[in-house]
Amino acid sequence: MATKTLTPTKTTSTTIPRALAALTLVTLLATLGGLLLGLLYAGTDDQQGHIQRIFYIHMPAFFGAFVAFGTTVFGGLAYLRTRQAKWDTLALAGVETGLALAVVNLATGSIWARPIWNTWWTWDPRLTSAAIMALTYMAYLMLRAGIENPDQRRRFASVYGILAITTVIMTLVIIRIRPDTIHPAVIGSSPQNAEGGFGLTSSMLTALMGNLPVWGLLIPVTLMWWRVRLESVQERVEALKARLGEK
Amino acid sequence: MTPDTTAYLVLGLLVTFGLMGALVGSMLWRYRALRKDEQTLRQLLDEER
Amino acid sequence: MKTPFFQVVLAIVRKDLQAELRSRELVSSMLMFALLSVLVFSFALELDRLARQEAISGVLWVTVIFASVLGLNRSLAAERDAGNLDAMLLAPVERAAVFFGKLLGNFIFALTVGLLLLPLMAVLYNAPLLQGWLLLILFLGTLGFSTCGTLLAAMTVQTRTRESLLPIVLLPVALPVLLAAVNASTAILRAAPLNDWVTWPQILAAVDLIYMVLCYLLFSFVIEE
Repeated sequence: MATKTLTPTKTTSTTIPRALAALTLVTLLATLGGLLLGLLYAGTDDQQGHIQRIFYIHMPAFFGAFVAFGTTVFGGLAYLRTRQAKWDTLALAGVETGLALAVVNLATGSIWARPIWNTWWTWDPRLTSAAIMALTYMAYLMLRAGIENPDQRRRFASVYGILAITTVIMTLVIIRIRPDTIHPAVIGSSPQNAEGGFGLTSSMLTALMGNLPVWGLLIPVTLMWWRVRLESVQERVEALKARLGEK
Repeated sequence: MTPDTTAYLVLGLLVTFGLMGALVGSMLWRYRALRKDEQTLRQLLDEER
Repeated sequence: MKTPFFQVVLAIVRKDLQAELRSRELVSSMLMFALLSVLVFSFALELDRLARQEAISGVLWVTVIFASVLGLNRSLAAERDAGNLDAMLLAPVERAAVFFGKLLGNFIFALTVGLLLLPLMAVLYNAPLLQGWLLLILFLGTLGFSTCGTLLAAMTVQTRTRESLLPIVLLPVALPVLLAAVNASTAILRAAPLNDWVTWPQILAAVDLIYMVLCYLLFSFVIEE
C-alpha cells in the first residue's frame, strides 16, 4: 500500500497536458507567422530602414510583460484570499516571464535607438521608468530569495507583487505626464519632441496587429504555464525530501 | 534616402530570441535537475524501505 | 472588545515619540547622515553656481530618502527585536491601526529631518528653499515615501538579509513619489509660473492617496502568523 503511493504519479506527471502541447505548437507557429509578417509583409520605413521592423517585437513585448505582471497581481490577490500555494506559483511565473519580456523590450529599444537616436541609452523618463520597472521585479526575486519560511515568502511576495504593478502603470502613463520625453507614443499623438516616430502605413499596422496577440498574449501565457508546471515538480521534490527527513 | 540599418535588425532579433531562449533553457535546465533529484530521492526512499 | 482605532494609532505614535525623545537615537543618526550626505554631494558634484541650482532638488530628495530608509530600518527593527510585531497580533487591536501608528511616527521623523535640512541647505547652497510650496511638496513627498516604506520595512525586517533589502525593494516602488517631488521642487526653485508645474503636486497627492490605501489594505498580511 505504502509503496504504491510512492510511484503511481511517476508516469502521469511526465505527460504534457494536451492543451499545453497544443498551445505551445500554436505559439511557435504564431511567433513564426508574426516574424514573417514583420520581416516580409510590412513595408520598409523610408527614414529608418529595416531596423524599424524591430518595433513589431519591441512594443508587443511590453504588453506581454504587462499581461504577465498583471497575472502576478491576480495571483497575489488570489493567494492572499485563499492561501493556496498554486496562486503564488502563478504570481512567480508571471514575474519570471514578465521580466524576460521586459528585458526584451529594453534591449530591442536600445538596439533601435542606436541608429535612430545615435545612442544605445539615454536617460529619458520613459526609458528610465521601464528600466526601474525591470529592477522592481528583480527586487521581487531577491525578496523571495531572502525568506526561508515558505508561507511567509508567499505572503510577502504576494504583497510586493501587488505593490510593484505601480511601476508598470507608471511606465505606461509617464509619456503623458512628462512631455519632455523623446520616446514616440504609439497610441495617440506623440510628444512634441518625440524623435524617430512614424506614421504607420496599413501594411505596418497589419504587422503590428498580427504581432500584438503573439507577444502580448500567446508567448506570456505559454511560458507561464510551463513555469507553473516546473514548480509542481519542485513541490514533488520538496515533499519527497520532507518524507525522507521524517525517517 | 533610406539608411541601411539591417545589421541592427539582425542584432535585435538575435538578442530577442537569445533572451527568450535563455528563459526556456533555464526552465529546461531546472526541470532536468529536479527530475534527477526526484529520481535520487525515490531511490533513497525505496532503499530505506 | 477592541480598542478604538484612533486610540491605538495615538498610543503607538506617543510610544515612538517618547522613546525617541528619551534616546534621540533615530533622528540624530538620520540628521547626521543627512548632513554628511549634503556635504559629500557638494564635493562629489563640485557644484558651481549654475550646476548647484539644477542639482539642488535632487540632492535634497536623495538625502531625505536615504535618511528615511535609515530611520525606517531602525524603527521597525526595534519593534521586531522587542517582539512587538508578535505581541500586537495577540493584542485586541486592528492591524491597520498599527500601520497608521507606525506610519505617523516614521513620517514625523522623516519630516523633521527634511524640515531641519531645508534651512541648512538654504544657507549652504544659497537657494530660496524656505517657501510655502516647497514645504507642501516636502510634506507630501515624505508622506508618500514613509507610507510604502513602513509597509516594506515591516516586511524586510522579518527576512534573512534584513536591512540591506529595504532600499532594494523600496526605491523602485517609491519612484512615482520621487519623480513628482523632484519635478515640483525643481520648478519651484526655478520660480517657474504656477501653471507650468501645478500638476506635480496634484500627481503627488494622488500617488500618496493610492499608496496609502494600497499599503493600508496590504499591511495586515505582513504582520500575521
